[in-house]
Amino acid sequence: MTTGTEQRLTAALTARADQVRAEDLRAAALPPTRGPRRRRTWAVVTTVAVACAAAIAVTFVVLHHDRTAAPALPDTPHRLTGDVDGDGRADVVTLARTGAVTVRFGDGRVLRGTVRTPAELVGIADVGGPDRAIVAAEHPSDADVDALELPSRAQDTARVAAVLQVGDDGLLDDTAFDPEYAVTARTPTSWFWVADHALLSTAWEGRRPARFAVAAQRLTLRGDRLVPEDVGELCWDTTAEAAPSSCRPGHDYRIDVGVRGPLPRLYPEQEKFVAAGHTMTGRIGGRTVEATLSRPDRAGHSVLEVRVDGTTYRATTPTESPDGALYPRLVPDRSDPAGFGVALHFECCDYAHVHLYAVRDGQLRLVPVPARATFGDGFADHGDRYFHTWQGPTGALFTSDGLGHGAREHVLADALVGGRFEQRSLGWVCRDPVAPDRWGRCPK
Amino acid sequence: LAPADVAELYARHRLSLVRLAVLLVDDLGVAEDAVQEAFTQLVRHGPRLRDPGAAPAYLRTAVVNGCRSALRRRRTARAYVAPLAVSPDGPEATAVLAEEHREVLAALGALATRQREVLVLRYWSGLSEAEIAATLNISRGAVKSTASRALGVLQEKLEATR
Repeated sequence: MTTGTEQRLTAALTARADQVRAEDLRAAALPPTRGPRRRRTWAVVTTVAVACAAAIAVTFVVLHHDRTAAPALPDTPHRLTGDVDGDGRADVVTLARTGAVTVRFGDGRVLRGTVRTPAELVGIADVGGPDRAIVAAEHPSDADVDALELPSRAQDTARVAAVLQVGDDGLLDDTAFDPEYAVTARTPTSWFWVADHALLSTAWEGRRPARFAVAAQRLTLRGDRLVPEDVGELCWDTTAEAAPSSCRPGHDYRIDVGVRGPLPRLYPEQEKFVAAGHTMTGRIGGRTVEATLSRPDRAGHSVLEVRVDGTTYRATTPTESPDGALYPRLVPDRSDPAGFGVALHFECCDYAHVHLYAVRDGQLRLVPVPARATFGDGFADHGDRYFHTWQGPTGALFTSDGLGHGAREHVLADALVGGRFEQRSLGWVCRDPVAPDRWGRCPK
Repeated sequence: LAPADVAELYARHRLSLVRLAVLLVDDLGVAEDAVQEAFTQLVRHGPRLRDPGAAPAYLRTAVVNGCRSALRRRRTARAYVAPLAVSPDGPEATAVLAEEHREVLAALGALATRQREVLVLRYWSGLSEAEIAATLNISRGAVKSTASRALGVLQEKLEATR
């Protein structure tokens, strides 16, 4: 690229970095080295996690401190059957409450191994070794909690993967994960599972919805480490109690956060993912409207096409995001039953922008939104307020605008009225700090 | 790694790692936290490092990942936490930066996290494509394309501000 840009960038980075001087830093505090490794109790694990999360002040965890006792295995050993050594005969794997893993091969051999804090058997997976590996889940250790950034509120149900491989004398559990990259936890924000004999994993941010798309990774052994490789998007219907699988073309995977306490109508949060391209189809005013967002044809741009009644309207998005817009969403026009708009979501950096497009004068045009409107996702007032825009099941847009800790939020309805943007207040709601997924009227 | 080795690494690399983190998160407090956490991880996982000479690269990767996590938390903290202040370094630090540098840094801050990481590692840390690939656990081709695209976007943004 241009030498000038590179020179300016280098100079600016150097200038900013040089502003940080040794005397600006906190007093040096070398992390204490560890003594002999020993298992800690869950109470201590919780304390460590809370300490690590202190910077973000997750009060929820503190409130739930007493509920972090790890669930125990049932008395009956977990058992699964499969072909571990690839000889075509069924091998039986059992996991006892003590953590003892036993494989009884079809040829009569028996091998044993151990997982430290057993939770469950997950399956038999091909991770690239000579034999298939046995995947178990165990309760996280203190190091796991730190390294995997396990969500604190999930500690009472969290699992991490233990991968045992067949060795000469027993089952070996020396497989190292790269905790910086491999998702190996089963929590409300990550999951690992065995599919087609491969060990797959995924992670997502926020609450686990009922049906949604995930970016999956396959964990493969390289040297002595399990390294993740992207395998693309899979879709997951968590209500079906099945692992994520291929997205069905044309099938909508909605993000549904579920019941919202006493205000389900006010908080019908929903996002949209359509497996076959970024297309959204809907019926508006008796007409079928299809909005398609094509991949960027140049950096930062996407092309939006809207087809209705045999007419195609086209617009090129601005350079708001290096990755272009994400999903098109049809938005009804409140004053015109046949009118509609398309909302585009731009993810960028620490913020997300929402742009509205509507057909005016025979062209697809950007609908102006007042500069001071809280619309999109981002922080305001130097980070004191966070606002977030979403779409409800009827297509209407909403924005919540609240204090940083999220306990009290102002809800706004974002509407397209005669092709123009309007925003009106729906009032205030409050979040239960102990159960953040529940909302209600604010106490007086 | 022996405790003395960790202490030497801490003395030698802490400041430069904090500077790297500041360029990624623009927040001295968060940057220091990320570096401290990286050293904590080194103490914890250090015995697994087969080559002690790999420790600086390990620390660099840990700092980049820590910064990425901090940025992710900054975005997803909405329900539970007070967001991090935008610029805790205060207005003085910003004011003494030349206008031109501020423009560049603002444009850099608007890039995607991965793009910002690649540019900082390349143009401030001076890493090779292979080193950046190892740090970010991506292919060299991805480094090259990300850097090229990021520079293009950066240039567009800088031109747009004129």
